[in-house]
Parts: sequence; structure tokens; C-alpha cells
Amino acid sequence: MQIIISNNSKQPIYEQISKQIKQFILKGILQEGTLLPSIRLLAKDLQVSVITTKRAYEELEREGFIYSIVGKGSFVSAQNETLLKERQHRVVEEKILEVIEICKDLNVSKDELNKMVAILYKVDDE
Amino acid sequence: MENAIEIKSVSKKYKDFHIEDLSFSVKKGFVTGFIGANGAGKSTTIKLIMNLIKKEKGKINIFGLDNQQHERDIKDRIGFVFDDNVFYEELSIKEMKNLVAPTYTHWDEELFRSYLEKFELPTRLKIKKMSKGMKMKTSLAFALSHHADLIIMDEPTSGLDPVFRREILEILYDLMQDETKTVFFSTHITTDLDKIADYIVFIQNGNLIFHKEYHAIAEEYGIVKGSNDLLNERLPEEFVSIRKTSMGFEALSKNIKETESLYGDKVVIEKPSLEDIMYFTKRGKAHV
Amino acid sequence: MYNLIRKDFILQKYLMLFYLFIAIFYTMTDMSMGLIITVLSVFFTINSHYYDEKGKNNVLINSLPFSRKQIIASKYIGVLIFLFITTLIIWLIRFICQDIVSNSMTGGSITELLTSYAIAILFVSFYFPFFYRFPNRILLSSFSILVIMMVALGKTIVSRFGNVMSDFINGIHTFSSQFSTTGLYISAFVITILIFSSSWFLTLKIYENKDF
Repeated sequence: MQIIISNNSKQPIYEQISKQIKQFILKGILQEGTLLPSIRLLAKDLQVSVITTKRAYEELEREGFIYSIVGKGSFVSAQNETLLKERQHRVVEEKILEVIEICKDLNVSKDELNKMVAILYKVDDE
Repeated sequence: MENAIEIKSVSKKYKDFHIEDLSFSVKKGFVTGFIGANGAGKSTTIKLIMNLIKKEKGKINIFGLDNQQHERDIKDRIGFVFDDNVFYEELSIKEMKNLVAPTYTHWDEELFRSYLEKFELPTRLKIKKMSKGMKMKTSLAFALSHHADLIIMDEPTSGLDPVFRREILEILYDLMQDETKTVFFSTHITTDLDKIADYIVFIQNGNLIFHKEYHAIAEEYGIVKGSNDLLNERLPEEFVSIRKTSMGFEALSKNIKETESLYGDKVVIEKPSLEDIMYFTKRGKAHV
Repeated sequence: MYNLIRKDFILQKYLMLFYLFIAIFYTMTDMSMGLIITVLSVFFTINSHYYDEKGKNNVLINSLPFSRKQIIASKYIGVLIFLFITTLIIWLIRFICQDIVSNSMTGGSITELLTSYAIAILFVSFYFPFFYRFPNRILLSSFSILVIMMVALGKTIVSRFGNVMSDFINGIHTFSSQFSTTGLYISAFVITILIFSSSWFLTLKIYENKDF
């Protein structure tokens, strides 16, 4: 697991961390039951404050991505298929909603949007 | 014991300055940064904690123990770094070590040597012949070599080059691997705090302005920029202070959620640096 | 507290050589033992206080794991230890020099030793509370210079003082022969102890209320 943080981004560092870990979990790169680095070790490696990694883990735990055992550490939660799919869908849904807002602002119709999606998906596949 | 240091309603009066009813705590296992303008009372507070200055009212607990009644046991577990050199100028590091080491229960000679090597400090040179940077590194080497549970530093990196400041941060990152260690340090170099502070204590004129978790600050405070016609006679409560020019205004808000609901996207709200907060807080309502 | 006392001796490491030189020099030039002891104790006391007040050293000591009680105790006990060690060393010098110089050296009587201890202790009892209470740089420096001058101006002043000392001791002898010796010694001893203890107590109070 490699985490890259940007000090210049508007996004708070703890959010960057939790987002990246979330991605790894959603993509299955971090398997269920994997032991995550301790918040202190992670803080040292990333050269951030302990409270930053603590926050990141707390958020991940709150959203059910990881769980902690006192004295042992934090582990990746069992991501059952449906739940995982649900989460992945939710991420996409959020983005779609954003795009729909923009379309409404700029007067792009639903049909035009669907056409664009079809084209861009193909382009991506190539 | 959750707090390494607990300050409760402490007062101390001087001729033209006083600390009044000061209360805050320093959480164990974390780095707490202590900020404030010159003369705000940072050094005084640290000296009160170390019982170098007698408090007039209030209570100070360190490791859960009263800092006057259990002075010796407490100081055995504290590593201190002060702004000015406090070591005997006529002695060398080796001679100083012979004085200091036996006073600590957990003095670690090997650890001390490793720091001397790491900081490239000459053991036989008289301290008065050292540069300011070397003196500070010496202080740090002593502070870190007796397995102290609490490291208290008063402006440890003022006058030191940025490279060395980074090295100190690295040492602190290492130190914080141990969740029983606590660091409390005052500094003007707020960028150092951005990199390692977990909590921030901010005082001004002997009063506590806030004691917050580092990230909470950016969630509550913000620099608000907008055009002057947005402002009324009465300024929003949450504006700590404001700077107006012919081009527009710049204000520090301590509740950006309020500000956002008030002005929407008619203003730009930016993340404040600790410096911004200190600057605007100092200006206070006087310039509004 | 042992470390505190040790610290005071280590800090005067090089001064010790100077003290030794004075001891040898004045022993050779036939000065009374008691006087040398008193003079050296005065030096030791002044320096012991000086090094701690210099710069920010008192911040250092009070940041190390010591209580203020211990710090003051180490000062008072340190002087007593110095008295003891100096006596031994001077006695040793006299013993060695006896063979070399084969003069009969003046003094060395118990009365003289005890008187010199008493004077040294009285000096300390005055010096510590006064200069901890008023650590005025100027006062300190002038006092130190005064003492150094007295020694530097050499034998004349010192031997004149020595004469005063011998007269004083003779006076004590005459005075004391009027009373029972034991009673006298005891009362003198008790008074000195009382003054020393009160001074210790006073200095402690002063020091405990100090801000660094």
C-alpha cells in the first residue's frame, strides 16, 4: 500500500489518506483482514502528525471500511460482495449527481449526456 | 492518566503583565504546540509548569502529580530545552554530562553518545565556544537521553537553519512512536507545527485564546475575502478582526459555517495558517 | 544531593589548584593554619554561590530533578565538607613541609581550628541569605573583588589580619580561662550551630520564593 499526500492540496491530509485507503479497499488491493500500519508508524512514514492518521483511521472505521482491536491494531473489514458493490456504486452515484448538476447549469440534456457517456466509455476502453 | 500536563486556574501577576485564570491540558502521547506573540506569556507558562516561577493561584499537575509536591519525581521524567543556553559555559559537554547524568534515574549513556554523534557535537569543547545552533543541539541531546516521558521545549528552533529544524522534526516523529511520550513546545515557526502538532494551545496577553486539535482549527477558522459592499455597520460575531483596503476586505472568521451560510459564494473562504490566526487575533476588535 | 555537592566541587575544579597553591604558599610563609582555612572557605563560599547565579545556571539546576530544599542544603553542607577537606590537606602539607622546612609552624591548636571554623561558618551564615536575597551583580562583584584584593595585596594585610587573629585568639584564651573550658566550647558550639541553622532556614525560605 503506497500513500501519496499533497501538502498543497485543499483537501485536508487526513481526508487524502482515508480516501486513498478506501480506494485500495474498494478495488480489492487491500484484502479483508489485512493488518494496517499503526497510526503512529503511518504518521512517521508520511511525516504527518499522529492526530492526522488517527483521524483518517477513525473515518474509515466510522464508514465501516476498517475495524480496530485494542492492542492489536486496525484491520480491513470484511467487504461482502453486495456491500462492496453498494459502496462502489455510491461513489459513482455521487459523481454522476455532480455531473447532472453541471449539465443542468449548462443546459446539456439527458440524451446528450447519455451519448457522451457511451462515447467516452468506448474511448476509455481503447 | 490522560493528560501529561494539567493547568487549572493558574494566576501570576507581574508589574505590567499577568496570567489570569489560565487553564488547559496537554494530552499524553501527542505533540502539543504552544503559540503566541512575543510577550504573550509562553515562556512564563512553561516556567510555571517547571516550577521555576511560583504561581500565585491555581494548580498544576504533571503526570497526575502536583508539580510542587512531587517536584523531583516529575523532573526526573522531564526533558527540557530552553531558548537560552542554561548550561555552565565554562564546562565541556563531557563535564556537563558528568554533572547531569547521575541526577537522572534513567540516564542512557549509549543513547546520549548516539545523539552527540548524530548532531556532530564535540565532547571536549567548552560550551561558551559553541555556536547557538550547537548549544541548542546540546540541550536537545541531554533532553532526549534519559527516557523522559515529557519533553518541554521553549522556542527550541529559533535561530536554527531549516535543515536542522527538519532533523528535529524527524527525531520527534521517531519519539512519537511511543504512545507514552508527550511533547509540548512553544515556537514562532508555525510551519513546523503544521508538520507535527496534534494540538495547538494559543495564548495572548496571558489569556488562553484556544486549545484545539490541529485539524479542528481549519474546520472552524477561515480567512474570508470579499468586497467591501458586503459589510454592514455591525460586523458578524464570528469575525475575529478584519482588514479593509480599497480593493476589498480580509477577515478571520472563527466559524466558517456561519460565514458560509451568511455570504454563500459571494466570498472566498481560505484555509488559515497559524500565522494568520495569530496575526488577526492580535489585531483584535481594535481595528474593526 | 550528593550530586549537587559534587557539582560545586567540580565547578571549582581549577580553582582548587589555586586554593592548593595558596595553602602551600601561606603554609610555607608561616601563616597560621586557621587563617588559611578561613580564607579558603570564604573563597569557596563565594564561588559556590557565584557559579549558580551566573547566567542562567539556576534555571538549569532547578530544572534538574532536585528540590529547592536539596539545593540549599547542598550549599551549606558543601561548605562544611570543604572545611573538613581543607583541614586535612593543610595538615598534610604541614606534615610534609615539616621535614623540608623544619621550622616550627605557628598555630594548629584546637582552639585556633575551631575559631577558624566558627568564623567561616559565621561568614557563610551571613553570605548566603544576603546574596541570595540581593543577587545584585554589582554587590557581588565588588564583594568578590574586595576579597581578592585582600589576598592579592599579600602578606602585609594578611599578616596584619593574622596579628589581629592571634590577638583575637589570645583574647579568647584569656577570656575563656575565666570560664570552664567545656562550658565555653559548648556554648560557642551551640551558638554557632544556631546561627548556621537559622541562616540555612532563612536562605531556604528566600530561595523557595525565588522566581527564575
